[in-house]
Amino acid sequence: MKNKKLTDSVLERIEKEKIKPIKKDIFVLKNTALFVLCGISILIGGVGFAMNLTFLSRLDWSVITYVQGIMKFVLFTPPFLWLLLTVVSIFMMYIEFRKTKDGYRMENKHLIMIIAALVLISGVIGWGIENKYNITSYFTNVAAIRDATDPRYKIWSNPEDGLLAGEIKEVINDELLIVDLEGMDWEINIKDAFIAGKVVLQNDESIKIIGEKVSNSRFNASKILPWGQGKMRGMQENNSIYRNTK
Amino acid sequence: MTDIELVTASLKDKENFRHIVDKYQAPLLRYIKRILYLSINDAEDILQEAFITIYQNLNQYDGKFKLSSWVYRIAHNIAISHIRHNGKHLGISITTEELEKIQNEDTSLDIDLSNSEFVEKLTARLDHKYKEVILLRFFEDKSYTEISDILRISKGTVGSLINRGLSKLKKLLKDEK
Repeated sequence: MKNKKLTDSVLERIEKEKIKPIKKDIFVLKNTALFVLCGISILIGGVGFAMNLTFLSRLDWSVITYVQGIMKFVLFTPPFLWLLLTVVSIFMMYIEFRKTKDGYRMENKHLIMIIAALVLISGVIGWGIENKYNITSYFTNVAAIRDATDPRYKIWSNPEDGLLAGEIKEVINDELLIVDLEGMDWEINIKDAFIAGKVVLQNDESIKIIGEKVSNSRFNASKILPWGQGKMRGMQENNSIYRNTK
Repeated sequence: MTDIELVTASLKDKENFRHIVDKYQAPLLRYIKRILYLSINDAEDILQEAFITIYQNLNQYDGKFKLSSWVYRIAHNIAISHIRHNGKHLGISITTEELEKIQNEDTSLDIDLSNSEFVEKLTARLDHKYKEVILLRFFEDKSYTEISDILRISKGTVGSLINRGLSKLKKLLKDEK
């Protein structure tokens, strides 16, 4: 026998409190919003992974040994931060997807594999886009973004450690006049330098130099390398010679 | 009436919601009592809350699920919020005598208490996550798919929780003997 009292009290309460069923659109909207959040999480995770690939691909592994002490720590922090962003995004997407209508049905291992694959694929696509359009170079005036996306600016602004980079302003016999990434002028002695095959010693060419600092404006080069992928965008705009030649 | 017809009829006229309440009140009351170990009056209060929530969320139901799984899920959520609201799970600290008293209480509903009362009492001592799957599987006779839909966890997780829960239950049985 059913408890009619309970049935009646439920119906009475619905009547008395004028309780209405929530509109279907609200549920649809909530589910859609969760999928949108999943999409945003994939995008953020993809950006994190793409930035990590960008950073690591721009890292000059052969000169890492030149960088010492705290600088090494500063240099290697961004990849971990990008990795953290990627992992947090994967976690966020996991939570958001689980909250969707049928999200609980998928097994943990399958869901994590799918999310990770989506993030990795979007990251590789993002990295490809960055390689082609060099979007991060537009933000190099913002130190935090520059240091987090391109380690070259940190590495090659160390004349004390024998690492310098800049744009050639003039070539005079065995000397180059360059404006470095901080906008400082340098006279580079290239008499005994090895010049990498891809380097063309001409005005406006961006180069990296390994050597020895002689004074605050003189540097003896032992090796000259090309800047590599992406246009150099340092603080050269602060330099009057640089501005006049542009 | 099919599940979807019951829901559609209730959406058209709230009087038809009576059929859903009549159909599910006994199993849901039994489930709430088993999961929370409350007196009949307290369990009925929670059940009423569950039916109000079911009515409010009728538009969320779709025919993909069994209506029973969906109403169990809502009752389960209400029971969980009750546990959270009260700070701890009542079943964990209850004594065997108290448990027996509650279970022998005249409910005036046609509740079919499980024959394995002793095992049910031991189940009450399991962690909540194991207890809920064991109760649903062996006392409420729900399939893995239904348990998955009720608890919103994957079938694989249901399986592993049942296996681990049974191992713990066997250990408890051994200790009791």
